[in-house]
Amino acid sequence: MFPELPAGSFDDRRLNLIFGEGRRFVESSKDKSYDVAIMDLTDPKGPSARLYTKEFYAEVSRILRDDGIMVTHSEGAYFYTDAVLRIFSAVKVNFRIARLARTYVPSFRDEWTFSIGSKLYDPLEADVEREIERRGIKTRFYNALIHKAAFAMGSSMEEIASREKPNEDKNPIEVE
Amino acid sequence: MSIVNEGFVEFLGRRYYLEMLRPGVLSLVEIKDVIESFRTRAGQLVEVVDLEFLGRSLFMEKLLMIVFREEHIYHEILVHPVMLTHPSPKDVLIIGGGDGGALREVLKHPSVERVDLVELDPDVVDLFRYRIKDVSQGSFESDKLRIIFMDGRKYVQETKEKYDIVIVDVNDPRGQAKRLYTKEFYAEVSRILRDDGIMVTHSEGIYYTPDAVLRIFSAVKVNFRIARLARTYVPSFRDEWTFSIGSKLYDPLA
Repeated sequence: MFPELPAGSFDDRRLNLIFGEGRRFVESSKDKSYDVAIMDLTDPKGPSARLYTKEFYAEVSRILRDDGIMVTHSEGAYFYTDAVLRIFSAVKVNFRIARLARTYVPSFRDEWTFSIGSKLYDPLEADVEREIERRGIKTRFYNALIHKAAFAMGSSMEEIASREKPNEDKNPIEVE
Repeated sequence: MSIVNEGFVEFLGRRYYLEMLRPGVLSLVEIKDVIESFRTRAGQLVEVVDLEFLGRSLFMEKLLMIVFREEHIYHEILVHPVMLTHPSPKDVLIIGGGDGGALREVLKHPSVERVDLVELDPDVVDLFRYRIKDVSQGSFESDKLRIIFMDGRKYVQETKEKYDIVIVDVNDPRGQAKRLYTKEFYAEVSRILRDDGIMVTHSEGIYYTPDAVLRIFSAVKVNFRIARLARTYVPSFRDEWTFSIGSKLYDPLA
């Protein structure tokens, strides 16, 4: 129906496609199974609200290796500031390094945020220019300058978020 | 809902401001209160409203110009990249900027000795100087300031003054403001800049009006040795807003 979207990636031999509920899958996975976990879910509303909480990210951390990294999109900086801070804070309490990236996404009409939790490597110190070159990655928007710009904030979101109560299983946030 | 015009509309029993971001894309923001609504003697429609969520805001000619709680984003990125690229800006010209926001940021630079602000519309300056002071924050009372009420293009063509920095902070290119976004106008701006002078103009939103961005930037570029396009998300404009910089000597990237 939309063949241009994943560019044949569903046919890649390295792919293991699992149909199931994400939280249950993570909870039933073994410790230290992955290097990277990427949460690319619907916005926190209804069933997906449980995949944006402190308790869920603790489980994600458990199934990541000792140098593992996770990322989740975490709502718009201007129209859903509270959601951003509470999701980021829920990631932050579970990881040694937590960073908030952001970029304007025209279709969402806001600066969209991405909460990163990392056990060892800091995205601010990564030499992405070299790595893009070495791995031969082709992109349409992202590059080393965009990477740097994504972490540039007018004020320290990390610090603001550290004063914010993490999003929890008990009364998780839901966006309108 | 039947829409006759941009401006106030009723929808599901609530009152909204309808704004056209570009043909085919409309925005509706809910209105709590209308604070002021008047047409200036220069003929511009000014509406100050309290919006749900965004708070106190100003529409000019039916376009959302200022959301008071976040105007610093626009004014800081308009002013500081050029002011900081120049090692010692002394004489600064602001064209437009009747809200005093750009002026407020310019005056933060200690090297500044003189600021000329050329504004078409005295009623806009009155509004921001005496009635709504949140943006100008007293900057209209500076001894360094000279306010000139006239058409910006005419001033640039006629003046014998020279400037280190020219900041063009006028309405979007619609109606009479269109003449302040052309190649011919920027040639005149270049003429009144010193040999190491820099100019900046805001130049519309990247995603909703890419053609305007490219044509304005190109009009700046043909007039200057160094031309750079800066951009940042401005929530009230709901787009990544661009700023076209033309410079005779100093490169904002260097």
